[in-house]
Amino acid sequence: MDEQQERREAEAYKIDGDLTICRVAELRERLLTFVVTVNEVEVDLRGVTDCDAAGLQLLVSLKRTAEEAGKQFLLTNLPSSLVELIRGLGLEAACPVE
Amino acid sequence: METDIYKTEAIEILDDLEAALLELEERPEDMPLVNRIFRALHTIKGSGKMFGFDDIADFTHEIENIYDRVRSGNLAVSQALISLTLASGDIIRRMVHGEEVPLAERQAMISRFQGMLQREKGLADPALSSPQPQPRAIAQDKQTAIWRIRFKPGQNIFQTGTNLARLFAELRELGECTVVGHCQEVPDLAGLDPQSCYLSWDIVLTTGRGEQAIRDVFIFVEGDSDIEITVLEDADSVGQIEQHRRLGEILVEKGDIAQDKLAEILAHRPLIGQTLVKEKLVHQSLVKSALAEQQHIRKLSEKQKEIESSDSVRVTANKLDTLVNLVGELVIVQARLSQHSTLSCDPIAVTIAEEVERLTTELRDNTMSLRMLPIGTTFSKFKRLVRDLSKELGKDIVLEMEGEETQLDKSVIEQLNDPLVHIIRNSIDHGIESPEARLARGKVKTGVIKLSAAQSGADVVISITDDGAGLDTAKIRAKARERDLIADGRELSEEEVYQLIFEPGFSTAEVVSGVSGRGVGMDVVKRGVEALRGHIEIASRPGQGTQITIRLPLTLAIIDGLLVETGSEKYVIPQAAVLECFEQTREDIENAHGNNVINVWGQMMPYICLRQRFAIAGDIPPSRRVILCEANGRKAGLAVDRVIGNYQTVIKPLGEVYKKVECISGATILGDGTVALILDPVKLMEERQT
Repeated sequence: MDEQQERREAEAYKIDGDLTICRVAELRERLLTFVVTVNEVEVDLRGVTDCDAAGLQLLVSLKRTAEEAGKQFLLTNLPSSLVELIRGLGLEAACPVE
Repeated sequence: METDIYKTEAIEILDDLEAALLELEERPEDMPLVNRIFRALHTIKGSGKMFGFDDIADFTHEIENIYDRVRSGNLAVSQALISLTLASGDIIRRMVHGEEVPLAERQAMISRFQGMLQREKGLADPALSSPQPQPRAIAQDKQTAIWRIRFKPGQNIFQTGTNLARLFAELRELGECTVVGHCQEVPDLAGLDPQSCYLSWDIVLTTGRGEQAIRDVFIFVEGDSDIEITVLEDADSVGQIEQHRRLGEILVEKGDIAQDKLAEILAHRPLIGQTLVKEKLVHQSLVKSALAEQQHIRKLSEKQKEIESSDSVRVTANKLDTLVNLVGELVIVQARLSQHSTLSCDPIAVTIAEEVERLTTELRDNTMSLRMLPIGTTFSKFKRLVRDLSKELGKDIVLEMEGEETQLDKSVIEQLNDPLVHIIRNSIDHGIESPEARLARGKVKTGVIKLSAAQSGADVVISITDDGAGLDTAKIRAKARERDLIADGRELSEEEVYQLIFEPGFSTAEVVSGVSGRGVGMDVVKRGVEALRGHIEIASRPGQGTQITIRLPLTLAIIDGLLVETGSEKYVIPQAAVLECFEQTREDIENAHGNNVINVWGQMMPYICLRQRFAIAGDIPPSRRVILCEANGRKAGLAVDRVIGNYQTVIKPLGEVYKKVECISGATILGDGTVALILDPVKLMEERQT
């Protein structure tokens, strides 16, 4: 168990495919388990193909969860389309871009 | 399914657009109308985009732009503009119906608009003109202003599929725009319902397009969302705008600073420093009061809309048809119950049967009224027809309407459309003369076509009257002789001559025009009307005009009838036609010396003997009944053996084989399961005369 946890700490959580309303419920479940197992919440968004406001809101919520637990929060490898969406929705303050 | 809804709605909006355009032609200064047109276009565009009809959205966008200019006072309303817009509406309509409209055609339409724009001289491109000082006070739309928009979407906004990024992109198109999202309300993952929206936004927008343009962006979300739009400050000079924008940005960059403070500061700044403030304040208050007024009107109309939408339910026509059928069956069963209870002599059963009968009648009437629509929806379509055709033919014609609120069965209205179009086309082409000819005859230059509808008993009477030349009976006679429609040496009455134009292929037009003269016409009209169990009549006065009258039954499905019997056969006579009922003895028949006439209050009245007409075997009973009927202004009796009584009749059509039996309009199933034929008194009377 300890070994697994250590391995996860070193690894960012990867989101692949859609980060949209269709998948936010499923991703929320997974992130909930992910966030308690790590000391530093890092999400790798390289594989995100599509994202909407509901998806961003999920990231915002994750950030809040991490901060309340006193953990570092980091988003990495944002695709340009995602950066554009964050700017478009005026959520730069809530979604720190690496 | 969703695209079906889009289509239905788009067609409704297009109808509204057309009506608004025609009104605008009459009152080109009417700004609320321009706004209505703009909103219609905007909705078609927006929902088109939403449902993936990009072609429609792109095309409509171009026209919307034109109307934006009209709205901002940069373009005057002209006939050419309205004609082009109507034509564009037709293109959109075709696209909504799923037709592939070639891109070239669409582009040609757009370039016609652009050509028109260029002809309208002295108009600077709005992109160039906006930094120039503009005359104030006319419309606040022209004023560059800083707007604060508070946008708190409804919780379910994600689920409605609204693309927020696109919405903000649309806002940015209006002008300099700062969007700040607020995330304070987003809970942590444990407390998050990921499909609900917790986000809200504050937007500072600098635009000269006015509040309406901003509201239009939010048109699809305004129902569920809190949207607060306030003007922070007018600004004339670009420099000032810069200042404000930067100011706003700075405050906003601080992140979660109280927005009230930002507003306060934005509102205060010019109050403190500027010397122009006083002069400006006057203007601002003017603007604000205009704004308040506008908002007030909008609120009223929105309230109205809300009432309409919350009080009505959209139901497919199929469901209604099923309901009507079921009620029809119920009426039949109720008839059986009544019959049975009367025979049983059980007072309780009789009371129950009577109660059921009363309820059934009410249910029937209510169900029928569900299918009723005001005929005005059809009438208003003809405005366009008259406008376009009279232009094409160089005539000056107005369409007057009366009784638009008269209600008719939905299916009747639908099937009535084509016959009416035909009659109106005829009136425009043959009836109304050219302006010169009218003046020469001492008439007013403008011809009038009057459409009217009114309820009369169980019928609806629709008449189309024009004040044109009237029917040329000599010409019709000559044409009819040519085509051997009149037997040699036979003189026809005026009315009979008029009937000739209902002959298939009959046309007196010398030249086949695009409008009429192809000879496919009035016979089709007549058949169309008769298919609705209606009747059509013509009256005409040379030089004064023509009136075509269509009588239609209120509904197609159920009527009140009088059940009668001759021999062992039962028939139903529509109650609406029945006037009186007389006894006729064998003596009376003998006294008439073989003529089918009966003495009615001292007046001799012809009658039709059903026993003879339908060749029913058996002897005439010693005493029988003659039912005096009136139809189409004619009176005649129908002789039957026995009258059974009133009967609610569900009309069932006869099969194909019996279509040619003219004096029968349908059949009905009686309480005991036997079939009774429904008589058509009008046809019976016509038959007797010929």
